[in-house]
Order: sequence, then C-alpha cells, then structure tokens
Amino acid sequence: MKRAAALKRYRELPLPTTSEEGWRFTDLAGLDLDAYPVADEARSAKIAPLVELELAGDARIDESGVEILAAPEGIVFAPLGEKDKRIGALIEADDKIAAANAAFWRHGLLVEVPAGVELEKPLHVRIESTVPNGSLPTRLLIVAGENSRFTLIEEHVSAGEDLHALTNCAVEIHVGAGAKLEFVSVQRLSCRGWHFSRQHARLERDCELDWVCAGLGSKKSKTWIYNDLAGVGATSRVTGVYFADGSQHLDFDTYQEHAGPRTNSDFLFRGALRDEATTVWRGMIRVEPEAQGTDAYQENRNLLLSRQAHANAIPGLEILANDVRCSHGVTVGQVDREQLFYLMSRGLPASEAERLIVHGFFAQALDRIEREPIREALANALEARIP
Amino acid sequence: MKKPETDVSQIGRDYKYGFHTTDKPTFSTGRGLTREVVETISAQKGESDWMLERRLQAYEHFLTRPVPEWGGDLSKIDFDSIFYYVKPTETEASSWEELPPDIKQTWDRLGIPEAEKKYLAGVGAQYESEVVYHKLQEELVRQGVVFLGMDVGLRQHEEIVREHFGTVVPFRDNKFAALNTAVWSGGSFIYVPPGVKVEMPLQAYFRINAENMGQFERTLIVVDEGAFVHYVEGCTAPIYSSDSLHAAVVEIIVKPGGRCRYTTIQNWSTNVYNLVTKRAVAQENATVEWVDGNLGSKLTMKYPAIWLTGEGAHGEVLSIAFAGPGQHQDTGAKAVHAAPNTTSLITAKSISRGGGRAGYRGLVNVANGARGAKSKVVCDALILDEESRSDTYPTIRVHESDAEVEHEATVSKIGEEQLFYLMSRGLSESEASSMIVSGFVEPITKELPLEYAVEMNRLIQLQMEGSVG
Repeated sequence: MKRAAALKRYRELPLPTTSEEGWRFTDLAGLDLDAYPVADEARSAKIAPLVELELAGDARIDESGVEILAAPEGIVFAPLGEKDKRIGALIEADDKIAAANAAFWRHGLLVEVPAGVELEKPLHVRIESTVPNGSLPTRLLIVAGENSRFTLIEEHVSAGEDLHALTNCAVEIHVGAGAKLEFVSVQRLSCRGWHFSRQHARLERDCELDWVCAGLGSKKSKTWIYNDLAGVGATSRVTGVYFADGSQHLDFDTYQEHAGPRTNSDFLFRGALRDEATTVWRGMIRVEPEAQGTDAYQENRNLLLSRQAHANAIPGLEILANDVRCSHGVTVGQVDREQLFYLMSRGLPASEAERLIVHGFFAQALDRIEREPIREALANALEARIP
Repeated sequence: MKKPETDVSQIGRDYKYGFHTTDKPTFSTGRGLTREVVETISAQKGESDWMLERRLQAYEHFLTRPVPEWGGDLSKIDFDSIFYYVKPTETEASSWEELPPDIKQTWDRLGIPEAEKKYLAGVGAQYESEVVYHKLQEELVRQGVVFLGMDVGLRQHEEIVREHFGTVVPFRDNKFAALNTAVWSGGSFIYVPPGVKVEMPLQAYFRINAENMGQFERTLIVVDEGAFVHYVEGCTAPIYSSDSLHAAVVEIIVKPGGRCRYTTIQNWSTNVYNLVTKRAVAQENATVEWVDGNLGSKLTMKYPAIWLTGEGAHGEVLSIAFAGPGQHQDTGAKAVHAAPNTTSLITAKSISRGGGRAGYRGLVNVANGARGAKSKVVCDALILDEESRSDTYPTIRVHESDAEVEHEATVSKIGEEQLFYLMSRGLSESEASSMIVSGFVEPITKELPLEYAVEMNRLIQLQMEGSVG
C-alpha cells in the first residue's frame, strides 16, 4: 500500500474498540496514537545484550536509522527499501494500528537468503526504542529462498527501564519451498510503553518454520502471530513464553491457517502472571476444505502467581475439512500445592520452591528451542522476574 | 475408505414428526409485531399491569437491539411474516379427551399420553402459543409441588413469579430475550417446596403446528432448599418450506442444597430458527445440570448457562449437537463462578455430516474471590464428510489465582482403525460408523431417562443412514 493511501486509511479508521472480537479483552481507551510523534533522532543508549552469540549478521534499528554491524556474503542483509514490491503482501493496513505502521514506518530491514544457502550462525536484529514519548514504527521483510536454512533473532528493547514510548512493528516472512527458518522474537521493552507487533508468515511446500516468541516488557501490548500454511506438507511450530507483572497487559493473537493439504502446525504458549497483570491469549486453527490431512494443535497454559492476576484464553477451531486431527488445550491455575509442599518439606524456602516450579513450568516450552544459548537466556530472563 | 455420500432426501423422509393438522385456532394476532400485538396478548391473558409494562419495555428494547452478527446467519428471519400469538383452544385441559380431535390426534401420534401413563410424574403440552394440556400426579400436588403452564402459574402464584421473573434473564440480556419478554406465552412454572424430591421426571412438550409460527414460551423453575426436580422438554414441528421461529427463555433458581436437572431433546423440523436463552442460578451447595440434545432445527443458537452464586455450588452441562444437511447447530455452555469452592463440568460432543455445521461456543468465567473454583471443559467433534464443518469457540477468563480451569477440544473424523476393526468383525461400513457414533455420544445418552436414550439412539441411527457407504 502506498504511503498516501495508508495515511488516508489511518486518518479514516477509528481505534479498535472492545466491541470488536479481536479486541474484546484489550482496551485501547486512553491511547492517542497522534500523541506519539515519530522520532527521528535517537538518544544514545547503553543496552545490555540478551545473550552473547557468534553472529553471521547483526543489525541495529533505532529512531535515527538502520545500522548494519555485520553482514555475511551471499545474502541480502540490508536496510529495507521503501520501493520493495513485496512490502504489504502479507500485512494489510486493515486497522488503524497497521495503517499507522504502513503510513509512518521509516526504518526497516530486508533479510533475503537465496535458494540453497545455509547459515550456521544466526542473524540478529535489535530494534531500540530510545526517545521518550516518541513512536518507532519499523518493518522487517524476511525471505527464505527454496531449501535455504538460517536463524534470525529479532529483539525489541528500550533505552532504560522507565522509557515510555510506542513501538509498532510489522514483520512479513516468506518461507520458500523446502526451506527451514528459525525465527526468534524477543520483546523485552520497558514495562512503561505501548507495543504492537504484527508478524505474518507464509509457508510454501514442505518448508519448516520454527518460531519462538517471548513477551516480557511493555505496559500494554498486542502481538499477532499469523501462519499461513499455503504449501503442501508445510510445518510450523510456534513456542511462546510470557511473564507479566505489575499492571502489565500482554495480548497474543495467533492464527493457524491451513490452506494446503497435509500441513502441520503446533502452537504452544506458556505464561506466568503476578501482581495485577492481565494476559490475553487468542488462538484460532482454521482448516480450509482443501487442507485434508491437516494435523494442528494449540496449547495455552497459564500460571497465576497472585490473587489479582487475570488470564484470558480464547482458543478456537474452525474446521472445514474432515480428514484432520485438530485439538487444543487450555489451563489456568496456580502453583501446585503438592509440589510446593514437597519441595518445602525438603527444606527449600517457599520463594525458592516457587521459583523452581515456575522454572519447570517454562522448561517444558523452552525445551523446544533448538539453540541452547537462546534457551538459557530466555530461561534466565523469565526467572529474573520472580522476586 | 470410499468417499462418503449423503442421501439428502432420506432425512426429510425420516423425520416422523413432520406432519401437521389443519385445525382452526380460536384467536390469532395475525402476522407481524406491533405495540398493539403486545397489548393484545397481555389483554387476552387478563394480566396485571406490571406484566404489561414489562412486556412493553421489552418490546421497545427489542426494537433498539440489532440482529446479532455472530453465531449463525440470522439475516433471513422475516420478523414481519411471523405469527406472534396463536391461541389453539379456549381453555387448558386436564384430560386428553377434552382436547379438540385434531390436536389430541397430534399428541397421540407423538406418543405423549402413552408416555405419561408409563413414566412421567407430570406433563405439560404446549401447542402453538398456549399450553393446552397440563397434569401433575395427585401425590405431588399434596406435597406442595407446583407444575403449571406459565400463564396459569402467573395467575395462581403471582407473588412468586413477580419475585423471580426476569431476574435470571433480564430482557436487556439479548435481542431474543427482549422479544420473548414482550410476547411470551406458555411455558412451564415449577415450584418444588423445601426437601421435596420429585423422583420421576416432569415433562413438557412443545409443538409448533402452523406455518411461520413464532413460539415464545417462558419457563420459570424455582427449586427450594434441599429439593430436587428433573424437568424434560421435547420439541417438534411440521416441515414447511418457509421458516418458523422459536425463541424461549428459561430461568431456574436453585436454592441452597437443591438440585435441578433440565433435559432437552430438541428435534424441531429443519425450517425452525431455535434461539433460546437458558440460564440457571445455583445457590449454596446447589446443583444444576443441563442435558442438552440438539438434533433438529435449521439454526440453533443456545448456550445453557449456570451462575454459581453460592459457596460449594456445582454445575454440569452435557451437550450433544448433530448437524445434518442444511443445519447449523451453534450450541455451547456457560459457567460463571461467582463464589468460593464452586465446580463446573462441561462435556460437549458434536457431529456434523452432509454439509451440516456444528459448533461449541462457551464461556468459563472465574470471578475474583471464587477461591478454590474448579472447572473442566471437554469438547469433541466428529466430521463425517468433506462438506461438513465444525467450530469450537470457547472463552476462558480467570480472575482468581486459587482456581483450576481446564479446557480441551478435539476435532477428527471417524478413526479408520476403529472402522477397520469393526468391519473385520463382519459389520458393514454403515453399521460400523453408526456404532462408533453411538459410542461417541454415549456419555450423553447414558444420562438420559431410558426411553429418551432409546429415542436418541434411534434418531442418530436415522441421521446416520446413508451417510457413509
């Protein structure tokens, strides 16, 4: 969509309200998008890395622009050009927030790995929000050529724990036939700002997408994870972990669209909540009539660590084919008292026992992450949230 | 496995309740709904002012509410062509012989008088807008049990009705609750005094006979402390080429330690829109059980709800939906935990075939303070062919950490291994499928009174005939 058209949409559309199905439990009342002007000059910031990794390519995006720190030979790892025709192919400006991104994004990254190219070391991009009361709209376009293999780590970070700002990111991912992409998206912004992230992948024949989503920061956020399993035999696996405390409100909206025959998807989300935090997890498995032989699963488990915490789960199945196996499971509960009692009877103080149980709770999700340093970094980041 | 085929024409032929008689009603408000129609209904019944006022408020609210855009397709309902009130007889009979021959014949063909003799403690029979027959065993009358048509209930027990009417389902709840409150007629009023346990079921039977009929019965059940009642309702209608509308409201209040089981075998013909609001309140240590079987109708939107308002209250919903050609069953359940140590169990099964669409739509809500609440929801769906569809839309909201909520759902086809096993034992594919489906719904049918379980299995076999092969 052209900027002008997107701007028109942005001006015309109202903010979504809780009477809309996708926004029933996430209230945007009090948000004035216009009150967060797009900043164009970053403040200098020192932000600690999530994990020290040997990288094949590394980039940084902030209000000032895109900085390519390292780029490997043989692939495109470069600022995203405004004229790239593939922009908007998967994410339309169908609500005010998406329209804001389409109209105002300035800095983006293009990652294009040609057919057959395999990268052993991961690629990394860090999106840094540094300007108080500013907005940072960004875009990523990821194209995995046929039979390519690589890992991309995307991080959302803030300059300082108290930074109040708005981030709005759109990620479009094309996974070519037979490719294998590992996509790790870690949102560890300050707990003060707004964050919106729309992430949409299209999967071609026999490809494999292994996706990790970690939600830690933001005051109020919504993250969309949309997988369009278009090609025969495509497989996607999404592993999500989140921890919300204080008065945080984290919303994850997932969609497993099975359009191609014999496609597989497996979404697993685990979250812990403390204090007065609220989470929303929505999931939909949609199987189109042509997608016979689909095997789809979605799971969401929530651990409530405080009495005022509040978890919403809205799984869903829309099945229009019959030769399928589709199921979902949701649980909401507190720390198992018997487990707690057992650990305390072994001499552990209550807080330590709780920490251990929470660790075990997340381990079942984190175990699905292939790269050990990432697995450990996320385990540590989650654990650091338990006082 | 061979491609399943569907003999659509088979279904209409198998619906043995599709007949109608040509009796003349004694009064009708004609087609369409106006303020005058609401006033006429109230005047026909000689109601008190408060009820007329309530009807008119509800009517005004009905006009302001948009037709819901979720669930099924409601855009084809022609509110102007519906008959909102049709009075079939002048008085309510207490013996079948008193009924006009045409109407009596209908009940005979449905087998109601026979069933009453054998295994029911009381029977109410509604034809179009009015309850035409009502009877309760003498012994229960002596114990103070009240089982009346809602209109008679309002006249004889106005204080109890006024105290509870619209408290569980207020007319502002949804468009069709508003419509029902405006034009309600018939339904059952049940009161069970403290400690009285009604061992045999009370049955109400709802029959639509006329074309474009709107049936808006209103049921209120009050189960006093430590009492028990099992209420069973059945519904059928003739097959017409144009549509009828059934929009009932059911309110149940179960006081401390009481228990109410409400069983529905909904087998409307496939030209009936069935849009029903059913809700129960379970007070301290009370139990509410909804057993909800949906086989008929064109579109059903029905989500029996339980508000667990007293400590230790328990709610159960057992639901089965069967969607055949042209049918959409948008059914489900709601459990709201508003008190400590409340428990709920929801089991939903659905089967779709021949292009039918069956779904589960539900809510489990645990309020802050409902410490120790436990809820479990299990939904299973079978899709029997390529044309059919299954949906699952649960919502889970937990505001209390000291709670355990579980939900799981599965959608699949009939297992080829199961099918192969049965066929290797000499069963035909159709027999094997039928047996697997019967086994699939068994957790529900085994909760029905024997006669209904037999009927349910028969209906499922009929539905399954010609569905695979």
